[in-house]
Amino acid sequence: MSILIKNLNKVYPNGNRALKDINLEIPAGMFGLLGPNGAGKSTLMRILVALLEPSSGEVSVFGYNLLKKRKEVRRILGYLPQDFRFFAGYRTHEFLDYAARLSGMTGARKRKQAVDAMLENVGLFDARERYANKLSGGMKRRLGIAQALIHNPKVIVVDEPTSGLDPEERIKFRNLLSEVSGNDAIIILSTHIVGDISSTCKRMALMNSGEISFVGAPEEMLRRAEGKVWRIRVSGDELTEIGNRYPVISTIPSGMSWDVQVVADEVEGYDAEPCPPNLEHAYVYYMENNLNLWTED
Amino acid sequence: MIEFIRNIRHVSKYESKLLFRSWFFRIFAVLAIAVITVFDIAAVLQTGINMSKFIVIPSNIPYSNMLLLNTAQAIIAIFLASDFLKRDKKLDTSEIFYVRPLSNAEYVFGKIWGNLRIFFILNLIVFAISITASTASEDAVIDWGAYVFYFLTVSIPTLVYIIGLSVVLMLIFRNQAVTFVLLLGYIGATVFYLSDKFYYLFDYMAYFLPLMKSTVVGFPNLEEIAVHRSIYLFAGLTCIFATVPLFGRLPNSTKGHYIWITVSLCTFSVCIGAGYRHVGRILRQNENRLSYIQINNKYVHTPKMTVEQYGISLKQDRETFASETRMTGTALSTSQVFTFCLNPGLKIDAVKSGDRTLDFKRDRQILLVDFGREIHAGDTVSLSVTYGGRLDNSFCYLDIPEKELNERNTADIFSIDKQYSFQTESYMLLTPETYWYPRPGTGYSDESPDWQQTYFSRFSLNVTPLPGLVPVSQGEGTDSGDGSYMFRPEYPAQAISLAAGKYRRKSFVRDSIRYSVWHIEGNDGFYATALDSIRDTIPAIVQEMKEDIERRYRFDYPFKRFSIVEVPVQFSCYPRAWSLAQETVQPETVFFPERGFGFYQMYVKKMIVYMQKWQREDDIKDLQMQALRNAVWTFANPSLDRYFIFPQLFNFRYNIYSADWPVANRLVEAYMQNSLEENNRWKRREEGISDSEKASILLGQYAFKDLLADAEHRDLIHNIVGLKAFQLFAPAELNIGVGAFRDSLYSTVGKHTFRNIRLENLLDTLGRMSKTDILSGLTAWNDPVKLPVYSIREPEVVNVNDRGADFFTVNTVISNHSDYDGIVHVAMNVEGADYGDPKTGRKIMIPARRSVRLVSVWDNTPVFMNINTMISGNLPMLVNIPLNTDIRREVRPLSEKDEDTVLPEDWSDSVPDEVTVDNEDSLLFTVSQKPVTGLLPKLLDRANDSRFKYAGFRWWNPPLQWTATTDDRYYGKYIRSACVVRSVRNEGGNKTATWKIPVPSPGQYELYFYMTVYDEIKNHWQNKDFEYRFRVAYGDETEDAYISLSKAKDGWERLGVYYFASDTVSVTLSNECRARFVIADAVKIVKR
Repeated sequence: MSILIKNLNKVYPNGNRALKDINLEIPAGMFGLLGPNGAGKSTLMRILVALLEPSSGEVSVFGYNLLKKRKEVRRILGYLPQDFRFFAGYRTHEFLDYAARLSGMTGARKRKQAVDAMLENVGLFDARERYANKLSGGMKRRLGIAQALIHNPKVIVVDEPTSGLDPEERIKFRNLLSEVSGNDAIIILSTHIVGDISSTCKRMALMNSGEISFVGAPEEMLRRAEGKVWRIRVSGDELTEIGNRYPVISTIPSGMSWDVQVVADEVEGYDAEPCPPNLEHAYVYYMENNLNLWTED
Repeated sequence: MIEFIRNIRHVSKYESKLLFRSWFFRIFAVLAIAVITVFDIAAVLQTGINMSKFIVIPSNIPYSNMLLLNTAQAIIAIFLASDFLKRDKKLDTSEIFYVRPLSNAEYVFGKIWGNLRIFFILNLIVFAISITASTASEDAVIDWGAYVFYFLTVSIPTLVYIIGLSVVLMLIFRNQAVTFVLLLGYIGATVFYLSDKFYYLFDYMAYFLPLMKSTVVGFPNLEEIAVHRSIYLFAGLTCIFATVPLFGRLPNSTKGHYIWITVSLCTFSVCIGAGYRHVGRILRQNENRLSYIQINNKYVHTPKMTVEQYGISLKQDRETFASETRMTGTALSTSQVFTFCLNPGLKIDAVKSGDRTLDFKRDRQILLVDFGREIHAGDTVSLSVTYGGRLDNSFCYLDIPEKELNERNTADIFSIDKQYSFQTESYMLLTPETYWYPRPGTGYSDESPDWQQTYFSRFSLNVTPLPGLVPVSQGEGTDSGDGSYMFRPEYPAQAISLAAGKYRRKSFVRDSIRYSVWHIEGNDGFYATALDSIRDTIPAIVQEMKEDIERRYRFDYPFKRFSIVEVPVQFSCYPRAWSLAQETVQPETVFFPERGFGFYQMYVKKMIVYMQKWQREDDIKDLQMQALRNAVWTFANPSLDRYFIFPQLFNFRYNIYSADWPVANRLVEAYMQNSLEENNRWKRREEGISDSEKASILLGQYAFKDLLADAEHRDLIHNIVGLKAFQLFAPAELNIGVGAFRDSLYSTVGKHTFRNIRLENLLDTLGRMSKTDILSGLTAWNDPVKLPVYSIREPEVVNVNDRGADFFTVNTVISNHSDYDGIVHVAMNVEGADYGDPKTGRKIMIPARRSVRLVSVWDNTPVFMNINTMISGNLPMLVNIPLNTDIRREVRPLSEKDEDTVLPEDWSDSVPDEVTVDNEDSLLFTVSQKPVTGLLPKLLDRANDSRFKYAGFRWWNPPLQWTATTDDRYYGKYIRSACVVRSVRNEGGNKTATWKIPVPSPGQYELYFYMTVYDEIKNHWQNKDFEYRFRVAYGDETEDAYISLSKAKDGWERLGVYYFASDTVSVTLSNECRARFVIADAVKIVKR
């Protein structure tokens, strides 16, 4: 049971080519879709949840052709859009109940139990009578995931779920997603925050400018960045020059000088010491290289 | 399907929740409920005298509630319905619902149903309030069916349509503001402009559609209502179904769209079909009418007979009747084939003469009976016609213009259907206009007045109504015991009517006349119980009023019965050109709207309460008697012409006819009623000139003959005929005196009871009696009247002391400045004078180009002089001059000077070196006119009647443009008029009126302005000193002048003294004034 995307293209009426020949297989489990803003992630997500029609290509979700069997696909779908701030005047539990009803949960008692359990699950039970648009940003996100999960969907698409959340909320949110991924569901997590993926996803894809530039396990990406991350100690004067020559990941002051982490195949003219990469390093390295390649092409 | 409905319910539930939580809706709902609650309480408590309309017909409470609520909800629904699309667009959380498996149709329908549902709940709440209010009132009855009916026919189609339309427009324009403005414009256009045009086609709110329910017959126009409302219900459904494919969300399946497009097309077809049927029905009726008229024209000159005896037997069926009518007639000309007319809806089965079946031919309404042998003029024959069916109402009132027929019939906010007959299971009403039995000749012809020959016949009517129904007709109905009733009126009648319903009679006999009220079972609560304690006095009061009206019109009541018969509220009729009698009045019968609808004086019970409050009178019997008099006065009041019983005294007994002048009867009626319009100041202020003056102007422009056929001036026909009657008889009145002439007219007419009188013969007789050639007056009717114009000198009153005895002489001069002789009517109001004194009212001939000095001598102080210039170029027609203000005293013997004398036209005693310029002088008087711009100012500035030069004005909303208006208080040689404009406060104003006065010779002059100070200005609540501002320009000089409105008096007010060396002086009045309006009338200069 997976999602198969073949030769997927999306050209907006204004001529913007948001997706270029995307081919992707997304298996069960948590799948991260990483990429900078404007890479086409949201377009891809919106096509996957049948909010947007692709210009060409095919998408099969659990064997259902998305273009022809939208109803079946929508039945097994949970979606948390990127922007999730402005609500109609519903109370928290009403919002969830409405979502549940529309997903086909018909039995009133069962639905009420599910809503209460879900509110409990996302830590909103105490806020159940509050109006959804009066909740804090984190609570809204949690309500968002609750509505996406209320009907036990097989495919859960979450678009930039942690942007704008404080670190604590972000961790809570990731954990919540991880819990769900215990089932056989596919969870697609689109984000530009590397940390979201590194801690949760077994597989990931990297998107840039409407194309998939990498598909695989996060470890695979890490491996590619091994030996490409350097720590250099420089003086204040040299800091600017380093910034011009290499992508700088972090700059930490150390007495009169600075400890700078850069990503590069090799560092010349400085006393550079290799360090073990994390996914963020790998992402930067990958983006830099791809971008370079792209420019060279 | 279950899932489909379930999803719609889910969406609607939450949509309703949102709507209910929106402050916009809450405020609207609270306001609507509050307004309607207040309204209902006011209605059931009858807080206003005219509120009886809301309560006497039980369904009027839900009807009025529904109209009020519907107008408001139709506007609010636009906003709320378009709001969900805007909300979906604005809220980023909407997408989480879009990704659910429900279809677009389910989502959209759910949203719309959610909106509708909340409005329906509001409807129910409003109904609950009105039901509660009704239960609290002792007189309000709850008509449960009406609540359901109005909800189904008014609320549902309106909401479905407007919500559907706003959603579709929102999807097309994708902008709520644009949609809202467009729809508000649309609503504005339907309410204020299209309103009832095109037979209510654009009336989506059912605001104008006739929807009043009768307690007797319910809705006679049920089919029309159903068809009309279907138009909007299905138009709304079309929009709603079209919303599905237009909705921006990707559909569950691509084929889903096609289904809804197909369904939408289907509902659209039904909508168009209903619209076509609605308009088609009326167009067909109009076509039918034209065809009926043409057919009448075709047969109008074919041989006819008069019918002396009618024997009608009629058996009522559920929605039809079957009848056999036996007639004995006399041929008017020799022929084998004779023409009769019968309602084209009725089918003729057989025509017989004795046992012999006669051949007949039917051409729609026309029945041509072939007697198989020559019948000679004057020969008498018998025949019987067997026929039956359902009457075609479109055959009625062929003489009434289509526009007037299709005009809305209203009472306050209610629209009432117009029916001319009824044939239902529970009720039947047949009036002569329907031609429910064969009548000789044809119906209305617009080519020849020959159609209109009326004859008196003896009738006998045998009616078998449906079980439980009681028939009412002319004559006393006697129950034969077999379910049939026999009527035999004792007098010959021109036609008879028949009503059958669940009638009950309340009656008494007084002075051998039986007075009855035939009310529908259960409808007597409004008339009867309140008068219980004066039950014994009622006959005396009624008789007193009967005698009063007999005295007033000098005719005695000719019938043995007088019945007021309750008829459904939809029963309608029109005034005719040829008679004052309308179908509501029949011999011995008045058909009156059920429960006295529209006549608060009939709600006797409540009237007593009101009067008690107003008069602080506790004598209940006295109040009851007053209330009864008020109620009975309804039938004696000439201004309520539809129910005024004058036709009972005159028309049903006498018939004056003329082969050339179908208006003959009406002419004599108008003269007998003495109905020349009074000088009604309020009406003049409203309309600028009176109806009689309009009539006089028209008579100067068009021939009387043409005016009679002119649909555009139908509303003035009464005044036109009235003036013409006065003109016709004026020479005779002049010759032998008004009183003597009237006596001879009454005595001549009185000799022809229940017989026809030929107009020409009547005039000939009257001419001989009055030694006047009245008959030749008729020949002048083919041309417009040559209008004389008169100037009237201010009367002079002198208290003459002749050898110790005091007399008062009134002296005035009326000059005829035209080439045509004219007659004026001068009436005097003198303290203690006997109204029988011929001097108090007399006609005076003013020969062409001559003046007449009128002198009259009185023992007591004269108070007023009224000069009615009749058909003339003078405006106002009636000038009312107060006489007791400035009385000179002389000690001298009364002399010959104190008698009328004819003087030359230019006898003038006017002062030399005095020049007056009036606003009527188009060369010397000008106003600055800028066109009114802007829709609202134009709408507010609309004159009521644009056919005439003069218009009325309202002091609280004066015209934006200089508007000419008339009043006998204004200055004018022939036309006492002035120009009025709304004032402004900015310096210099924005409108001016300028008089250019020629200066006869250089010198010192006094300058005067003619003032008319209205009470509204004089008694202004702020009591500020307002002033008129003038600029006087002469030579190179310019000076400002003022007149203070609080100090000014009516008449000439001095502006100042000037030395004029130039040949012209110009006086300009600006509209800068703190009073609401400025009047520009006349200025004059007087040399010192």
